[in-house]
Order: sequence, then C-alpha cells, then structure tokens
Amino acid sequence: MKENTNDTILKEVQQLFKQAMGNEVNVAINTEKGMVAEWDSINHLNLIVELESAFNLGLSMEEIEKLNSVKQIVALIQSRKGKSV
Amino acid sequence: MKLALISDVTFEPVLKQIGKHPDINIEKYIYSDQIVPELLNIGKQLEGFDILVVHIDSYFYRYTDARIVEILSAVKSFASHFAGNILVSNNLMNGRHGSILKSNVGQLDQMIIEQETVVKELLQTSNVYFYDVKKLIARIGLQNTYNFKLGFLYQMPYTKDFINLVSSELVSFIHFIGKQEKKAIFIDCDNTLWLGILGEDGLEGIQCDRNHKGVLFFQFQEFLLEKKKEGFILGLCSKNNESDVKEAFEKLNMPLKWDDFVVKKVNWLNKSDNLKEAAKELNIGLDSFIFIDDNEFELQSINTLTPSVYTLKLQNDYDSFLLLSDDYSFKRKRLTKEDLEKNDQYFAEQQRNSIKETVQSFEDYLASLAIKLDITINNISDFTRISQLTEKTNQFNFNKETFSIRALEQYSEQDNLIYGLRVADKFGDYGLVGLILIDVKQKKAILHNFLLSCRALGRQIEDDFFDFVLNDLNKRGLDLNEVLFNETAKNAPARTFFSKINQDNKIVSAN
Repeated sequence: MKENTNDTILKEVQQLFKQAMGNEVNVAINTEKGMVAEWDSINHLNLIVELESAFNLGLSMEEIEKLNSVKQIVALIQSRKGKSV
Repeated sequence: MKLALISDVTFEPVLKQIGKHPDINIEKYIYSDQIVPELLNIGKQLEGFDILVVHIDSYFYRYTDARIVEILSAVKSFASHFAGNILVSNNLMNGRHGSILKSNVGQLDQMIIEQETVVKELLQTSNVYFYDVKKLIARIGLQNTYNFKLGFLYQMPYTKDFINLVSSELVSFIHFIGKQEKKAIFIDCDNTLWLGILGEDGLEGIQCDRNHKGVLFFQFQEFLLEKKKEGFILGLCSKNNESDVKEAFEKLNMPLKWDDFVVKKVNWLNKSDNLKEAAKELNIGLDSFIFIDDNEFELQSINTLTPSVYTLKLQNDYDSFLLLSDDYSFKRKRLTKEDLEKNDQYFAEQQRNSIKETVQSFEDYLASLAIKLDITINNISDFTRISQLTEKTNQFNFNKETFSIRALEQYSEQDNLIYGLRVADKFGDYGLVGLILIDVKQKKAILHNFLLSCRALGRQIEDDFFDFVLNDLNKRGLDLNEVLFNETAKNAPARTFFSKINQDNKIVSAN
C-alpha cells in the first residue's frame, strides 16, 4: 500500500519537475540536485512554488534549502500526508 | 515587442509565463534591490525598447513613504527621455501602514494621491501607466498572494496563484498598450440588455431593474452608460422589431435610453451584415468594434463572417459580468475632453446627413453648415489630443507614424511646425480633428505628416487646412518642396488627397 502511494506521489513530482524546469527534464526516485543541469537555483525556486501549490506543504526555510533530492521530496510529501490523515 | 523589466523582487517565474507569448520578447531583465540607481543609469541601454516594466513590491519590503516617492521620482525622470511606454506596479502601499486587508484600498489610493504629488505627476506623464496589482491581491487575498519564506530565501515572495495572475495581467496590459483602442460597442437586446425575450414575453416579461433577477442587466446597462461617457459609441444589433425595442426603452425605466445608441440595427437580417453596414455609416473599421451577445450561435457566426470584430459573451451570472467588464477592450489609455464629447458629435453627424438629402448641391450643403476652422501652431496644450490622433487615425493619414507627447515636444523644440486644426459647425464642435507636421530645415519645408480624423472627412476641410498651411509657410519665407507619404492598407482617402496636391509633380515628391 505504501509503495503505491509513493509511486503516485513520485509521478506527480515528476510532472512538477517538468512544469518547473521544462518538459525535457526527467527525474527518477534516485535523482539528486547535482545530477540535473536544469536544477539550478532559479529552477529550484520554480520547483518549490509548484510543490507548495500542488501539495500545500507550508515548508520552512530550512526544509526549502534541504530539499536536494527526489527521494527527500517524496518522503516529505508522504510525511505531511501522514500527518493530515 | 521589445520588453525590458526591472524589479526589486526575483521575477523569473513571471518572466517564464510572459515569455510564452511569441509577440513579447523579453530582452532585458534586471533584478536589483537598488531600483533608483538602476533607473538613473539604464537610459542608453534601453534605446529601441517598446516597453519597460517596473515591478516594485513596497509591501514585501516595507518601504517608507519617502522611499516610494524616491522610486517614483526616478521613474518619472527616466520616463522623460524614454521613447517607449513604462508600466509600473501600483501596489504602493507599504507594510508600515498595516495590512491592506484591514485598511480600505481606496483610502490608500486617496492617501497617495493627496500626499504624493509625484504620483499625480506620473499619472499625467504620457508614457507612464500603472498596472493593477492591488486588484489582483484584492481578488485572491493577501494570504494567497505572498509566500514570505520564499521571499526571504530568494527575494521571490509570491505564490503560484499570484505568479499566474500577475503574468496574465501584464500580458493583457502589454497587448493593450500595443494595440489600437476599440471605438464602438454593439449590443444584442434579449437576454443581454435585459432578461427575457421581448417578442415572446412582452414588455411585462422583461426585467432590468434592481431586483435580483434584473440587477445584472441593470448594472450592465449602467456600465455601458459609463463607457459612452468615456467616448465609446454605442449601437444596437438585435433580431427584433424595431418598434418593439423602441417601446421597451421608452416605457421601461432603464439606465440606457433609445437615444443613447448612435446606430440601431434592429431587424431580422444577418448580424454581421448589420455590423458591416454600421461600420460604413460610422466611418470606422470593424476592427474597432466590440460585439456583445448571450447567444453562442450569433457570436460564432460573427467570428466566422466578420472575424475582425471583437466578440464577448454575456451570460446570466454575475461572475460572467464581472469578467466581461474587466476586459481590456473596454479600457482607455488616456481620456481626453474630445472623448467625452464624441457621442454628441456623432449625433450631430446624423443630423448633418439628413440635411444633406434636402439641400440641392453639395456646395450648398457645405455652405449651410457654416463650418468654422480654428488653427493653432505649436500649441503645447493640444499635444495630448494630437498624440492620440496620430495613434487612432487610419484613413486620412499620410504616414501611420505615431508621436508620443514627449516626441511632439521634442519635435516642436527643433523649430518644426505643428499645426492643429479645430473644426466647428452649426451642429456642434468637433474639437481638435486635424494635424499637419512640417519639418523645417534651413529654408526648406517638408510635409512630415497630414492627418484628419474620420469625423471631419467629407467636408472639403482638408483643402482649406492645407491652403492655410501653405500660406503660413509662405509668410515665413518657406517653400514646401517635399511631402512624405506612405501608403497603408487603410489610408486610401489620404492617397486621393495626396494625388490631388501632387497632380503636376511640381512641389512634392512622394517618399
């Protein structure tokens, strides 16, 4: 069950990466910030804007700065969802 | 369109949205927390740009009043030597005055207008416009506008919702600045100007009042009345019996009256044929028409048969009305005295036409009008209207070259001559309707442009105006030895006149 929700979240996150950084950007669960050329600071900002809009995360400044891998992003969304249930 | 943008917040997310529009080229973007020195230094770099957007967020940065005044003064000083237009964000309230949710936005406007003369001056500067950020914030609320954490980390304090809103607002405004204003609004009757179908429900079944069913239509009529005061020509275009519609306007106490409509196409003919006919009668292009209907079939058929008409759909729900009334096609870049008087002029025109049919010859007719010309030379107070004429006039226009007020000032400072023409006849005052620009170089005079508003065409005024200018040049010891003329798709009347004065190819040469 948990795997399934994570898969759904991952798919959504992948879509948000495309919206934030361009359609050609493909990320996987193991992708990290340094591995994607497009993932610069402006696009990181674009990504946070998309994530906040899609999941209403209310990220703190520390969290925003630390979100440097797809795995962390998915885990954070998962944990927020857990809280709200 | 070549666009530059200067902002005190990180504006990339907005630029990304604006950049999707192929006609807008963002060629310069400056993010700086020092807007004032940037504005004072940027001058030369922005030559050839059409638009500069200045986005300031005094709320996020909690600027003091003095700081806001300083920024606006820098905008003003930049505006005076920038040939393009400047759009400035209008969220000039600051955090120090508390949340705009608590205080009334209108009061803040008042505070600014009363206390800050610089805003007043900016509002009168011909190439400066404010784009309405406050309206957007009011729509979604402060909480849904700002993300302060992103602001503190990246100097980008906005949510995605606000980024989308401000982007589309800017795009609309940029397109609006680049396009000609609309001139006429044609409106359907049944279920558009009132609720109900006159031919089926009868007079008693029609609703346009302050009751809950009719209020939307009542307010829509009030809105149209406002637009009429701003210089839009109103017209009816409805499939109905004319006598029924006239009776409805006479018997029901609605904001609009039968005589508010300059042209009434109330019949059973095709609506796009009616609009074409109306365009001919008013002597303006279909591309300056707005058409409003509730009926999808009529809208589609007009979109297909007369695609240059801008169509809008009014539905019987309040959001639809709000959205429609906010459309940029109803906006004016600047309002002038002539705008407010234009409707009366078109009425006088109809009376003139009715006289035309009863007098014997055209010459008799002209004589009976008692036309009076009043010509000014380099009169600075006419420049607002003259600048507007260079933008709006298509038919009798030697060159479709537009002049900003600033450009006119510079032009006249260089010993060139700007002749402004006012016309009046026994039916009314047309206001300032004509312009001749003469370049003066040593003892030579070149006719740089000649234009006449379509309202003044067909009265042989152009001959008298031209003769006056020739005489005046003569008195100044100047010879007219060149005329600049550029053919456009629309300026056939100017072409005719040009050919007439150029018959012998003696004093003039076409450009």
